[in-house]
Amino acid sequence: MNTPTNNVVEMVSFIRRPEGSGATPLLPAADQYWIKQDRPQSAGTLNANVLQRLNPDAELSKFFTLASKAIGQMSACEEALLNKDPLAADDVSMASKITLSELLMYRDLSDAIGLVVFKCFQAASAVKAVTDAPQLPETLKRALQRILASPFMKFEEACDIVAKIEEVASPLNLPGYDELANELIGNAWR
Amino acid sequence: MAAFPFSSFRRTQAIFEVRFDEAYLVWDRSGVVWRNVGRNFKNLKSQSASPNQVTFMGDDRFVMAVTLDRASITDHRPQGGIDGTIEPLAMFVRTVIEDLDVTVLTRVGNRYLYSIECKSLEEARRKAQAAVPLAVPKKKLFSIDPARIAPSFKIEGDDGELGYIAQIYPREQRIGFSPPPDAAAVGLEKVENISSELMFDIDFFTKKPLPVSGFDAKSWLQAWHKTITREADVFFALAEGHQ
Repeated sequence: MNTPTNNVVEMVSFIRRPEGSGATPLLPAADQYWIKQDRPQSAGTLNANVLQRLNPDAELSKFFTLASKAIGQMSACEEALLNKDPLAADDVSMASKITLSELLMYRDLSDAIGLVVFKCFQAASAVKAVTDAPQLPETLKRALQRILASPFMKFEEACDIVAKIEEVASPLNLPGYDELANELIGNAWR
Repeated sequence: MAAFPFSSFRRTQAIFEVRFDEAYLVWDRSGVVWRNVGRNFKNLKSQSASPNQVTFMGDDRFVMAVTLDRASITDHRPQGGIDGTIEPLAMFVRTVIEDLDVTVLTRVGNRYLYSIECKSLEEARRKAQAAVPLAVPKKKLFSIDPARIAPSFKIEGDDGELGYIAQIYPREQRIGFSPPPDAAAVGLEKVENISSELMFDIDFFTKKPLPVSGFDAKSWLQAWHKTITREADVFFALAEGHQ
């Protein structure tokens, strides 16, 4: 039931836009935006890093640049391992640790970025010689490629990526983990 | 330097729209969407509601609509810094995407209208002539002196991924208000307002579907706005005929 004051509020519906000229009348302002003629869409989907073209100075763009660099380093590391050149692989692996630590600076961009980048950094840091974990570069590369394509993925999806990294990295005894677990819960966790 | 640099324009409207494949959840979760959107406004008023489209107005400034396949928000009174516009626009779209479980956006569009207020339509046309001088005939045309010239300039860009339509044109808007007879008791009378402006209208949009997992509304809005502030003056110089 309307109270008398509501009548005044409802008067807004009496606003009209007169047709001032003989031209085709425009739709109300709110609708104008929707009548644009669309050309047929191109096939495929848009990659998130297209933002780099629009605003290269944005934090997200810097993250994309750095993540691409890290992916390149992982590829180089993989290639060196395939070529049976462990010294070159180790060099690239060391360099990638620095890149991953820089990537960690962008952890606030999204939960997924924070989680995946942290896990990549943690797993890479646990490796003393990359020959100890030859699958790690490929796993980290895939994880970074996923986060590059979908930086705002759901947290559950990011957890799946982390689980895959852990499958490769868990035998490496992450730094300080055993000691910390022993101190907190003794041998119960083993 | 252009006759009317970007800094002489005032931001008058900002629109953000996302389109998606039919989100049938809109019939189940409309209330959830508007409850969550409403938490971000001091004052949220329903303007119209039907199964396929619900429109609300927030803080007498933002008009928001959610339909089966799109959601849009318009800031009708942008004021102060750009963040005051970007934050609510991004919040609205983020809420709709989350609550309707949208996974892919088929189109994302962000349109800004900037204006220079004029005393009359004639003045707006004169300003448009100064902004687009090459479109003004210098002598008789079809044996007659041109009486009213309202030049406009439009550039469309599309690289298959992203696109834009940038325009400059004069505009006159007439909005009338005719209250019902019983409103005379509260002293309301018929009103008609006319506004004349030189408009700079820029519309950015995506041309390919964009997965939500790679989409952050705020980043896109900031990026597009940055592009405008960086290159609007280049557009005005082009309109004047400078390369």
